[in-house]
Amino acid sequence: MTDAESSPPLGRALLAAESVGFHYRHGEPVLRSVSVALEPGESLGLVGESGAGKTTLLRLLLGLAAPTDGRVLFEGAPVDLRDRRGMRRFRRAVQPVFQDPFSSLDPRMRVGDSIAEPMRSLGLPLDRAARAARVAELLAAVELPADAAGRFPEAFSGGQRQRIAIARALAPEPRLLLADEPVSALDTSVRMTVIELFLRLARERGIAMLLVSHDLTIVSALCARMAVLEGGRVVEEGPTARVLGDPRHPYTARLLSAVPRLPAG
Amino acid sequence: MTVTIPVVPENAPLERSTRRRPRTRRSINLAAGAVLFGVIALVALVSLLWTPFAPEDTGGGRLEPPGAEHWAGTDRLGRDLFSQLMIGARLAMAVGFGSVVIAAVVGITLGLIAAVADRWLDDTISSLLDIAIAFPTLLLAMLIVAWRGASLESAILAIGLAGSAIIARLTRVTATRVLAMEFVTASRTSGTGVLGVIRLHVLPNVWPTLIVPLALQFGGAVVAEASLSYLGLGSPPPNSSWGRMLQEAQSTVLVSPTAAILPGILLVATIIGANLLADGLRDVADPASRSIG
Amino acid sequence: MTALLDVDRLGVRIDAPDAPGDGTLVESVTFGLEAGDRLGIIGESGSGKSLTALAILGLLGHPLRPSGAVRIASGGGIVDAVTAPLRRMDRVRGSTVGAVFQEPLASLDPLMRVGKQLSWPFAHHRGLRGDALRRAVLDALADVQLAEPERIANSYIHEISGGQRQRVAIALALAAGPRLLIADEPTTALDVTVQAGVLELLQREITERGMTMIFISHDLPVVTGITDRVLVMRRGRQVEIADTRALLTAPAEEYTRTLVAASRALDALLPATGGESA
Repeated sequence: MTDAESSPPLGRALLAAESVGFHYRHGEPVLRSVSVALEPGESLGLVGESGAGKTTLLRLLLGLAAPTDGRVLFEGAPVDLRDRRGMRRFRRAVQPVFQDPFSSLDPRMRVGDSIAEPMRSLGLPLDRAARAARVAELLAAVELPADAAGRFPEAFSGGQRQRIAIARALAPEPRLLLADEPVSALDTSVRMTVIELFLRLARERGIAMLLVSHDLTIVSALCARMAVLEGGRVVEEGPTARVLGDPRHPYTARLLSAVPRLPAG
Repeated sequence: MTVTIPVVPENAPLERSTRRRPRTRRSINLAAGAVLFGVIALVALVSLLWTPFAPEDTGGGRLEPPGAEHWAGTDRLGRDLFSQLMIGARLAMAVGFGSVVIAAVVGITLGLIAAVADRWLDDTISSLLDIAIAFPTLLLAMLIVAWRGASLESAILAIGLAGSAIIARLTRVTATRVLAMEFVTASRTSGTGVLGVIRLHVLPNVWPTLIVPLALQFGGAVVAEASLSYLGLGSPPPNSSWGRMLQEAQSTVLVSPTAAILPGILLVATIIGANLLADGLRDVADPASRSIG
Repeated sequence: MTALLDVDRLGVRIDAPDAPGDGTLVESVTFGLEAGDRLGIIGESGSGKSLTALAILGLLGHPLRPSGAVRIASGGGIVDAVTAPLRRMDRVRGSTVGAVFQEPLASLDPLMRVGKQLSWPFAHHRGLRGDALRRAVLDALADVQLAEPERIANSYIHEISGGQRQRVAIALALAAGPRLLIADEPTTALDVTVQAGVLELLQREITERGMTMIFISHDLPVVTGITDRVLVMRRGRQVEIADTRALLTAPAEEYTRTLVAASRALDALLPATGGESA
């Protein structure tokens, strides 16, 4: 791996994992000395199958758990889960989009309230009217009608719910979106539209994106750089086009050749 | 990179009808329950303002059968039975609602604590709950009565506490399930704290599951109080519990059957009414369509 | 060749007061299969493809009601899965028609060791006992390329991996020697490298045993790689049925075109491969 292909120096990065390791109390390590970094406006894909540790890495990067080794750095400073004000700043800047559109929205909350929740919990200085206006603005940004705010999630399809989840993630004006298999649960015909939405939003708002997925096509669509995880370690890393066009590690090659392809022509 | 996107119309939103249209048997249940329960509740309310006679008025003849003056007859001390039955209704309602409230407050609190707590605390609470559930309600009631003295409050407290264990266990299980859902994770990353998550997400998704068990506790509470009073451990006279009336009427049942039958019928009616209503509430709450619980 | 399966205007309705519309979930599905055919059924969520599979297996219970006819050549005669009594279908399932579903955790018994579950079809349909039975079970596990068949036979399903579970499910489906296998999203829940192995296994077994297969999925590249004819479903209706090649190069219907185009757009995101897909 040449210098040009490794991660940017950790000091400049917006979000970084520095030799991060994780193991459960009496268990095998799930992550071993993983280092990845993301600069503002960048897009990075983390690829791995089940058991590779990518879900755990995602949770650590989201500040939902602390690593047992190494540190997670936000703007160069370690993320401390007990530091309330620090975590608030962190959460305003780093927002998730989850995989399952059917369980990532509270079925008993109206869509508008779900989208507004980050605004209230993170102490954004908005009164009720301003919040409602922002909710309408966000719904428009994800191409949903304004009256969606008053309805419940059950009235919407999978793709629409995922848009709602994206709108919620955008509510505190984050600088980084952490997406976990954001289109895997969606129908084929819908996937491209949601991918296109991500691309547009990232471009328009300069949002960095960290995408965790087992699906190479999604990573190829959305990420300029990618890292491959196997058995809790990063086994290959570099610009997406290079990694997919000329995989160096055998596992990467195996992943690539295992993807079912359409016959040419 | 350029990607050509084919134009595909998104699937239309699914507007599923969320309410089960009540089938005939269900609406009969609900109606019957509402009527039975409603009548008794109404009688209880009226008793606050008026009863035909004062309950301690021993002016009537002893063990009279139902007649124009005393609609249900009199007991062996000459007191009007109808008035006593009305006050008994008030007592039953007080015990029912009071103990359900206690069971709800204590049970939900314990259940929530167990759901969010560390493993050791959760295990401790769960073990205590298991013991509490195994403990016979009446025995617990007797212990509390021995400690605080026999009174309506003691009875309500005892029955409420006994019922809280099951509510706590149910809350714990449902809350744990809700806490594992992705929208709770999303809530945490939205900056919402633990209490906020409980208020915004856990409680609204948990309470529909609790409505029916709590409603069913009503009937159980009424029986429990009647049993306590029958055993002489409930509120002391002149409080007219139906249980106490049954106990008093026992020895004179051949002479004055109505004094023994009527309290019994009213007990049964109240419990059946409460249970039918609880069953009907299942549809109104109908958690399946919306919540997780 | 006599037709193995003849699906004639199959419909499925749901008999519940709160169902949307008139409760029609599947409408007028029609196709036939000869021995050795490989048919793919492709559709998105809500297309009714899984219901169709269940109808063929005679597994639709109240409040779901099938209509039309599903004629299966079984035991020397013809059985109509739509009208046949449960007991008759019990004899068809397993010995004539086998099935593999998406989630082995749901379709296998979590409280029974693998070996015990697998021994049932051998004992029931082939009358094997004792040592011969044990041999058959271990051979079946080895046949689906599970290393350490003894260990797997002694395990519970939660003690083995997802890919191993699905191989066990395949072994179970094939144990009674059915002529037709219905695979409903068999690899959707698996990792991509594991999926490749399981698909390969399915292909091999079907070919070696001269079986017929219906492969159901939402994933077009997967379906086209393993079938020679494809039926496209949408919202309970049959949109199009055509040879795989024809469907990919010149789809007749609007919906099929958009589906193929969307799949191609996604496929184009990865570097081109040398030739036909695996």
